[in-house]
Amino acid sequence: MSKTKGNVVDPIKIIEQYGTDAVRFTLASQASPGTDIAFSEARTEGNRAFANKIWNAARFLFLQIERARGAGYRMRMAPVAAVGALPEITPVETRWIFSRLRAVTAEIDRALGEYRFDEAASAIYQFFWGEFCDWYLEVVKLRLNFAEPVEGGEPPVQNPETAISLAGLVGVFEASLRLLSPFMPFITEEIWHALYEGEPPSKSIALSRYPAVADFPADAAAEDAIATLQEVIVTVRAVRKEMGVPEKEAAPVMVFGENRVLALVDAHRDMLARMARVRDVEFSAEPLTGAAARNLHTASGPLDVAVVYEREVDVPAERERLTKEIARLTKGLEAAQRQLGNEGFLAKAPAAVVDGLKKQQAETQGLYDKAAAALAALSAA
Amino acid sequence: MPTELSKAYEPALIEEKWATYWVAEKLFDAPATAVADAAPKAFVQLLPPPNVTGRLHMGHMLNQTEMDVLARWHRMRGQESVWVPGTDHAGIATQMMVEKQLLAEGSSRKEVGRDAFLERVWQWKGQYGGAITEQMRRLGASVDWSREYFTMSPELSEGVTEAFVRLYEQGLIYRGSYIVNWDPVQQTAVSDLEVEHKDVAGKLYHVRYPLADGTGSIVIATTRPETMLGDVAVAVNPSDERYVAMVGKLLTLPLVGREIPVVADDWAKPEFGTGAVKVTPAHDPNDYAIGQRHGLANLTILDEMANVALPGSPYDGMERYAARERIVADLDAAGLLVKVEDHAMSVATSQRSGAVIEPRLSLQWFLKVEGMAEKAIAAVEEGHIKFTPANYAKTYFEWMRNIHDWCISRPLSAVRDDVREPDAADAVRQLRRRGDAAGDGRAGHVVFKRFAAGDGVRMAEAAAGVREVLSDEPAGNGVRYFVLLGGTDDYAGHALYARRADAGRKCAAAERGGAVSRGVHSRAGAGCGPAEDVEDQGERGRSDQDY
Repeated sequence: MSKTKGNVVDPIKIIEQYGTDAVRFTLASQASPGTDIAFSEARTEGNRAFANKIWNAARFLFLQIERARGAGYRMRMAPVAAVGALPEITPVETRWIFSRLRAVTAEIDRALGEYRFDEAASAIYQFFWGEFCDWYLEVVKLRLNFAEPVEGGEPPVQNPETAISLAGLVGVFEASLRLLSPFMPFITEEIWHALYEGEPPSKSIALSRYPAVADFPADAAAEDAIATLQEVIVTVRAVRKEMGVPEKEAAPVMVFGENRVLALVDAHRDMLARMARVRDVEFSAEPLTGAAARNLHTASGPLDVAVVYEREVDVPAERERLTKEIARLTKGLEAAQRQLGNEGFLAKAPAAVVDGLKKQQAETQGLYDKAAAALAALSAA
Repeated sequence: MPTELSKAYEPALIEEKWATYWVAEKLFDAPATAVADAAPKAFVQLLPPPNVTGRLHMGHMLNQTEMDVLARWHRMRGQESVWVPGTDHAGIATQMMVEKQLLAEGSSRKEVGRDAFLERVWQWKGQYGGAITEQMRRLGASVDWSREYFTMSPELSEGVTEAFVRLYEQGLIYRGSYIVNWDPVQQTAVSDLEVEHKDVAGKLYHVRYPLADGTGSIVIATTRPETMLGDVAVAVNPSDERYVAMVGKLLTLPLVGREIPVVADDWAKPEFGTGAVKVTPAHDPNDYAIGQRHGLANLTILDEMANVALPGSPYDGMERYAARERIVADLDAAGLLVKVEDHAMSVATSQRSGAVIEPRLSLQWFLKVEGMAEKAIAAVEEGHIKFTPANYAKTYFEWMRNIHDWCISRPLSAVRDDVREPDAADAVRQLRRRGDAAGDGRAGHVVFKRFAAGDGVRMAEAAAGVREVLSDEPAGNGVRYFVLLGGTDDYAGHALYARRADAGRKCAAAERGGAVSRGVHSRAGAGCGPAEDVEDQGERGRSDQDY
């Protein structure tokens, strides 16, 4: 930035627009050692969105706590402490997220110890957004079933799995706030005080204990399990998109593999249902092939996955659509032919333009062929 | 039920509240002995002080963000994390502000006198200064406000003077010649930062200088014929075959008659002009360097207004460019002007007045740094000080191994040869005596008058008429660490921690003292035992003018 060049960014203005936390986080995330920073307003906007995500996660969390209490669960914020071994009944995703939290803590320790602010910021960002919000929050919803209290009736039954899930959720979230606080002190302070209902264990999150690796249990098995399930889920989503399965429609999948990985998939049908709209899991006797199948090498072993779906076609409507499409594409091809068949045009036009037109023509031809084939298939059916 | 969070995330609402809370609760104030008691677990940072005149810019935000992440991280990991904030009185910038104010009142700095001017500076600081610390509070930097410092405060000023006097007594400070960027219109020297280079269509003059023994001549090429009045030599490149035979011979300087030698020096480039250049050490920084290398005299021929000052010469009293015209005409008449060609060149001009800078020899204060540089190098080689990233140690070594003596004064008026130079040693002795007489029991305490118009020490006028000296800010920088964080025991009483005796070896950093540079700030972990980490932030994020 240079006053003479007139491209100076006024930090006060940026702060007023996006908030201090977003600006701080952006500067830290761009701070690779020994090089200048091209301050990015776009990234600041992105980091404000990040702060927003944290805020919304907090609200979601607080809502769950409220629901839990309404259903008779007793919830009390404990002072900051290490988390020992998790109870047997702890579902896999909570084991997983604690293990991931431990890994992120180690990474941030290393990064800040080496003055790599950018790597530390990146680690917390990926963890919070990519793992905690995108995966953990979604999956843990499966466990957070709170019965509505009945007036004058028996208090609802308490489900230990629910209790441990909520406790895990709160624990991971609170630790994440402490991890993030050196970078985003304001939002973390606000949420932390709110979480402790105005009676936090120290006057400020900045005076609380920074998470340490030893605070969280490692669980390699859970990490493998979730990694496998993530791969399956991501694959199924991709195949569904390709096949044109409507977003809201659930579809069954077929799987083939060794017992170990099949058992894992079987045990977490609910997760697959929630995260990839898998209506049912069918076990195939043979390896899977075809356009709807994928052959994966997961953390738990090789696995074939196929989406079972037949699109229902409204034949007359589809015929009309394809006919219209073919007419449109024909026009396009004719126009292209006129230009590219014109000697005078070809002579005068720059090479780049001619190339562009040729490319477009080829694409249009491809689409035409596809539509024509589809129409023929319809008629044949 | 956890306290309600508002539906939308609105940073403006929550930030103000917490920023105020953190300051009001003094959450980041460390106890007075924190650094001493907690060493070596203490993590101590000294904020490079932004100018008190300044407003926050992105450079501040960047370095404060990084320092704050570290301060908070270390604090949360159980270390005593002390971060000391402060502001820089910004010598010249502040002086200008107050002078403007006085001017608006119809007065001036000279009129109110030194003491009153100083008073005004403090007043000004109280009123306008500190906007930047308000901004810092708003940013939530977890600094210890109870330790806030101002670089013009008595303790720091005393520290700088004490350093100066001690270094002088150790024989490390001397007066020497130095080429400065002289602005003949504003009548002041300007720093390299205030010099702008403008492209002009100039001329290159080829002039024949005959050999004194009459056996030939050499043609020099110059853009400044008027300075030939001050020539002390002609330089040619040692590898230039055209002139090899002439090296060591004498030339007769045209129009002046003086005999000057031909010297061989790499500065002369065979491809430029004729390959032979005239050498005027008192009027060109490169010529000055040549003069030093060959032990040549420094002949000053222009005065402070850039007029020729050579009594007895026909050109005496002429303005520099007028003199140039006349000299060129006279050379032509004498048949010594070989040719004149157009020459695109870059000319240094003063940013403020636009005047063409006239390089000028000036008598300044210098600090011998060789011994210190050796110790500073050792400190890094032995791992007492660590650079991150590590490869910057290379830059540091380059610098330290090729270091020049440090000019620590900044002249606002150049040396006038007609004024008797007082004996510097005598002046220093007077200061020492005066300090001892102040008798407050502290060894080496020196009383002085601090003048706002400089980034550092202004030595009081002793009866002997000591020239006023303005020492450069970096001297203040280095001393600051020791005054604020504790240094040798007999420094001003701000010993926040006692230095651990390390088998009698003194901390190299203490010796470095003022040689700490801008842009590198060291975090004193604890004395000199464990490695001190230096993070080189370089010039990143620094805006044009202020720091």
